[in-house]
Amino acid sequence: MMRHVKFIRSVVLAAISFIIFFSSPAYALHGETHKALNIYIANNKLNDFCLNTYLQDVLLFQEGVDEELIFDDIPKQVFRWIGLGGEREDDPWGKWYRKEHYLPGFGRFYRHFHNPLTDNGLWDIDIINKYGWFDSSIIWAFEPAGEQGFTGNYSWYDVETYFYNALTAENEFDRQAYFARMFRGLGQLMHLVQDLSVPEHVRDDGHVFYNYEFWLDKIGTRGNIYFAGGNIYLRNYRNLEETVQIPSDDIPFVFLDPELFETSMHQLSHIPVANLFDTNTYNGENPDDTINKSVGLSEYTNANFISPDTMSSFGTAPGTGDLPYPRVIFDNADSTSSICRFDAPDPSDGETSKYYSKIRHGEHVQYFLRAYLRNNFMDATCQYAPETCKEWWQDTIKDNRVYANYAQKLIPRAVGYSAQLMQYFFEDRIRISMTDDGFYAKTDADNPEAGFATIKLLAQNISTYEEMPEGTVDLIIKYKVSPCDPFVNQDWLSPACRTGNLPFHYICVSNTDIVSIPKAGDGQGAEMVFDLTENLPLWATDVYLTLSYKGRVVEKDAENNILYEHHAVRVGSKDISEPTPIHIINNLDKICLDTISPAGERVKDWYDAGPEAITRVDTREINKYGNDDGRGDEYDVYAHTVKDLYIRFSRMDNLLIVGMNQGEYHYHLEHIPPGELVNSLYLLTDITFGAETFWISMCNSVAVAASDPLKAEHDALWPHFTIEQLLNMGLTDEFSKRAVKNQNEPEGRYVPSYRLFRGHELWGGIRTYFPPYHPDIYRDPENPETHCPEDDLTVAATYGQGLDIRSISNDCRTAVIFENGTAMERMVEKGDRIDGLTVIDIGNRKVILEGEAGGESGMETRIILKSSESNKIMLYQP
Amino acid sequence: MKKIISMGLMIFFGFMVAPCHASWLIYHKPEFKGKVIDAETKAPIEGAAISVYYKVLYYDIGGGGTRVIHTKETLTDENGEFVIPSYTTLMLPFNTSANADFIIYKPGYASYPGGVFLCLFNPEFFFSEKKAGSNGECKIDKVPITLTFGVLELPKLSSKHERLRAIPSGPACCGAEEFPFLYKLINEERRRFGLGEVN
Repeated sequence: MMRHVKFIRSVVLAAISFIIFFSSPAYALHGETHKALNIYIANNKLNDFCLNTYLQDVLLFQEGVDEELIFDDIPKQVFRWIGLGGEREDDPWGKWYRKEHYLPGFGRFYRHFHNPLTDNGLWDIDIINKYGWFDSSIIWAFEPAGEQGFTGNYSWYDVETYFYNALTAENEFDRQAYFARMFRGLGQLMHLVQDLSVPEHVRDDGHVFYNYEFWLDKIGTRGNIYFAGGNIYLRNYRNLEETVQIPSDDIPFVFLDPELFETSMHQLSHIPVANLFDTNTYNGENPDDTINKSVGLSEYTNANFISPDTMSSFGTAPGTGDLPYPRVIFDNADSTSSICRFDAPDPSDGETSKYYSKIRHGEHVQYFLRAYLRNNFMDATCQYAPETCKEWWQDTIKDNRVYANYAQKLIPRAVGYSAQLMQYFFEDRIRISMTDDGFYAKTDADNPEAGFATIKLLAQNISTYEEMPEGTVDLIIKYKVSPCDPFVNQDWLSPACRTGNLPFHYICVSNTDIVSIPKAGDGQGAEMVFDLTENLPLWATDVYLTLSYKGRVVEKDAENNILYEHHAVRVGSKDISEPTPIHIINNLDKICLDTISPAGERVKDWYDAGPEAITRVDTREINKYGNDDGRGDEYDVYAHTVKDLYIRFSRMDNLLIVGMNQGEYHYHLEHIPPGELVNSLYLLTDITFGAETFWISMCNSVAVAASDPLKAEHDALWPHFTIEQLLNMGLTDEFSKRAVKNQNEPEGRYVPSYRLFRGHELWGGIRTYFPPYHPDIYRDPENPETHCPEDDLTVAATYGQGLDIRSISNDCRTAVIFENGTAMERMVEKGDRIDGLTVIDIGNRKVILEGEAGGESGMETRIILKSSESNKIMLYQP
Repeated sequence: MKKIISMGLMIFFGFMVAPCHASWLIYHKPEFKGKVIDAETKAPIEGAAISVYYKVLYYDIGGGGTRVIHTKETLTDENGEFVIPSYTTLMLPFNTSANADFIIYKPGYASYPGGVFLCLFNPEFFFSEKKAGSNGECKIDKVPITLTFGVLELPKLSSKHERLRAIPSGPACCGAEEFPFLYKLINEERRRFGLGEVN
């Protein structure tokens, strides 16, 4: 029934609008100011919130506000969708009907009014209020989802629904469409907040003719606000020939006190963000509270400014009725008046004009009203006998200086408050982290090619005031699939291996057992396990996790009453590692021997375990400590099989030791023959550039390889501990590792490089071997190397030369670059060439080079990035 | 009671205006002339789209606004110069003349509006034939800015990010049909960066 009433209501409004405006075969452009304000907000960091950063970090938009989204076959960047919303709240149809007719808002703009003293909208009379034709803009903004009607559904709840649908969309087409609608809807909601900075919109003034909005109109004939180069300029009321840029020290943006987002203060909406509209603080008797306290924008504007039809000259005397302030009494002697008249020279004509300042009852406004001297030509006598004309003063706010003064007070609030609406909508309220396992997922060691079947994580509600007690929790995994094997060194910059233009894939999964997300203060957060409907492939790159909660949000007001938003959407996201291999190679078929002959000839090198190594240690001619008995009783020089290798991972901030009991290890490898590589273990874990991100604890025992012909000989000479004994003695091996980052970022791509070790390309390869055999108990002071150089078993990668940033000067004019190939450091500035590349820019923590990419061998994530567009290489300072 | 009367008057005027297709005011804009140059080299920019849309002010209860009643377009010649002929038409009741507004775009350069600051000069004033060649000045935070009327200096852009941002979105009224030159350039630039066409 409610839907029918609203539909009929809309049709009636539409009919009125249509009749009024049908005659004009023209196009709508109303809303340019809203559009420009929205775009400014989308592109700038305000109140410590930067949409671009949020989009990149949480919603995982690589291009941030520049990401293009297609809806209804229209591609637009995010910031332009938000700008479009600013236009469309007045004119929902846009260019669709530009050829045929101009169709106005079909009633949308009738609902852009809110009088904070009555909580009603436009035309506050009984019959209007009874049928809710022109409800307060608070009601309009917070209509239930799908209830705004055929001009489009863009209420707060609609926008939240689009958000949820976008997050859980299973294909890119739907995802973009819903995100586009969400951003447009946000722009429309911001429009509603901005309208509250217009006196007409909060003083029930159906303004038809020239008014503040026309005066302000962006680049209009009388345009006095201008947007260029990402800045906002206003005409300066102190000197109309000048402009002022905002924000400035004198004209800062104004925001609502963040604490007022703790609870809703207005009965028309249970969502605290409605406090941006009205906090119910101003009651018509306390105008000073509108500046001494943080209040809704409608309250500030209503109490401190007037509109043409709500000043005394039009017949409604302020100071009476439901608009008590500003109290406009044209008598300087009256201390109950809000205003005081003064003379001000007009620089344009040199004439002295009379202005009124608002000097009390809230905000002070220097140019609040202007008084024009007029002749009463309507008087019959005056028309025929000019000398009898009576001069009289007409008071008006339609004055450049007055409107400029208004704008400098109101625009900073329009920007600040509407920016806060977006900030509140997007506030990151869920934190994702790893469990004590130190990873989000691991492969099945017996079937790694199947990828990852389960994601386990911790989720925390990190909002200040909200609780999320009951809802649906979805996990969305976003990723690409590498066209090249991501676990070997590749020419990542070749067209065949580039992933920049590849589409993202999405896996969306719910766990019906999870209904709530606990607050951060309740511990580490809730452990959540999601069994994926389809496995995340092993060749996934650019992997991101997003957790969404849709359901009740509980907050407590001052009286501890619990308030609800039933279908709120909250999200948290995390850029996690790409599948990271845990390469393990049993190097116990090699033995490092450091021998010295009786003649003093010293040799330190790797040898094959078994007969070759026995000969080296037993032959006295080679080793002065050898006993020439044909047995390897000088040292354990036998090949070994790794038995019962137990591996446990954990977080860097909570290191855990491996054990044999269930829950104390993640992988158990029973048997690794000497020389064999294990490459079936992969993790999804945290990624922090330049730092270790997960911890490995492992323990294993060894036995002589079954195939070794000297097994019996060894067993007689060298007994070994069992795994139980080793664990009991605490002889475990612990170390930290970095995870793989293999993904595109706005300026290029991170790629891994692998180290060639004994013919294998390894990431974080784990080698187990005995300490080296030393002939002397005292090490050679001239040769302090305690072990054979590992590099002797390493074949240098041939991927090219590597470059690292060692330092960047404070003025970003020079950088010290380390050339891995030559192990040299060199200071460079713009224009210098290094390693075949040209330095084209030096910035904060990065150096940009141009030319063919270099490379680097090593175990760490490559630092070199290359843009697919510009052939630029980015070095980032760790 | 006042509000009922006020509302009634609005609706009454609305009905009265509805059948008034006969126009009763003249809308006239003079010829516009100008030159587009590279801000750094001062070299003329050939082939920049000059898209002009003619606007009127209309009034409604929601605050009114501006709407476009006509469009014209041209490209700058080898000297970077352009001429937009004058335009005269009739207006409807309850409409008043607003300024003609401009979009000026050449791929690889900042675009107008948004990328170029003209103080608070109305672009129609800036490009008016009478003002061409004379200097104008305004102050931003008391710092004087001098401009030469009719000469628009476009800064050159280099990065993909800057170039994509410089693509004008155009007024809500108009697309490729009204501004074929502009949209041809827009789509050339979009294709250059691997994006689909818009119209």
